[in-house]
Amino acid sequence: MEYSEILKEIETEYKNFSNIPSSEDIMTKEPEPIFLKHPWKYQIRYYYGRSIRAIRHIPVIGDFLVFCNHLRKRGLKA
Amino acid sequence: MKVIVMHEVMAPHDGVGNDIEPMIDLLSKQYEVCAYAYDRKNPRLPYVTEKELLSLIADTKNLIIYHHSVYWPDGEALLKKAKCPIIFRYHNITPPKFFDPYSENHYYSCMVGQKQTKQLQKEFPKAHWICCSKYNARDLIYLSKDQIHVVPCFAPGRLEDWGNTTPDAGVVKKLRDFDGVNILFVGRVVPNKGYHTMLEVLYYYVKQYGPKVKLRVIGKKDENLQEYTDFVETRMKELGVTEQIEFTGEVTDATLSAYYQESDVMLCVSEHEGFCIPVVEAQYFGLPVIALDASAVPETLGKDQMILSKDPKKIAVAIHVVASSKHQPGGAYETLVAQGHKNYQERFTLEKISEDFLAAFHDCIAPK
Repeated sequence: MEYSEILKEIETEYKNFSNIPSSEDIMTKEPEPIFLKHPWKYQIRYYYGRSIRAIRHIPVIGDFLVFCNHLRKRGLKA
Repeated sequence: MKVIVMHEVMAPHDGVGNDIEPMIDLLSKQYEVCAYAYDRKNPRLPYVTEKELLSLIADTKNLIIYHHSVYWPDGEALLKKAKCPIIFRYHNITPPKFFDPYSENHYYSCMVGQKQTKQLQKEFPKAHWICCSKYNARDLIYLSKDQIHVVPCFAPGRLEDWGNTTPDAGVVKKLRDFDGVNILFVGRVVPNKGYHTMLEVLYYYVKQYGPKVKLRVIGKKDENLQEYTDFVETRMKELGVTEQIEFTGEVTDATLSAYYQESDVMLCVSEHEGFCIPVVEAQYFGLPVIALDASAVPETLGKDQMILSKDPKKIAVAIHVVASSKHQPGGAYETLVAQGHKNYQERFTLEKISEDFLAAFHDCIAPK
């Protein structure tokens, strides 16, 4: 059987589907997008992350960041 | 020259891991090769420490092959310290829209992963990129044509090892004893794999041809995507197809081999794939594939394969037409299987992928 014949067979069989609800009838809405609505938030997170990564190897700043992280973790635990 | 292969995670059985290990095996025949990963889950690989890596990449005679499939900022930082040439192996990154609104972390990591793809092209303008598909190459908008190469993922080449595993007798019996159509899907339960379409296809199939059908899903559920898993489960109940689906989770090679060999048809309505390994595996095992015309899937499947638009009714019809011709000589089933097997033999044997990869690799390192 040729590939084109398979497609023809599918088209013929497809016509029998007329009595079944269309795709739209059974479609439940997927949840609304949340994060796409405020891309700026992720831009800030991205550039903040990169900036920290860029400066953390500088000795004094690196130590200060480690200290800040330590305080943050203590704060979270409290 | 020493070759250093880098990726954030090196695991033995995931898509990227199945590309890394055979690549290292192949290159080891000609070069000294080592691996660097943050998360080393594959004990077979010749890892180096970060200190050793820094010393290796400072030597201009060496070479880095950097696998880019996730956002790995520390990997990018290491590349910036390199004085040696870099080749990127690009596996693609799932568009973040699929994870909105199910997981903020998945959304964020895909968004920044895509940003990093652009960033890497700009930061390393002379680097060559070897993509797993032509579809992936479309993301490389800042490079010239001679810097972009397309070589399939090595994973299908591994079929020659695990494909000969004796199939699990229990699974073989279960599938043979089932009085209906066995449909197979292989892939994690994540939004880009098209589960919502798959359930609608099943709904139409049951309405038109009766309940004697079973979709067996091989792939684990992601605990960090619980909202999506809940969505799929609610949808299954809404459409009344709960009885027609079986989630098997992760399986062994013997079990997977049994599912491939004894199923009637493979359904792949995934909306985003950078390559799509399971459809090639299906072609290897002689299982006809019915797939959605999306991302790299049509390219991987090759010509004259059952590739359809996103119409669940038509996909349900295609399953019926193909599955019902299974024992008909010269029918749709036989045609698709023969064409699929030809596609595998011509493009995805380990020998062919290795040959293509070495040609691209030598082109990348040749002095310009």
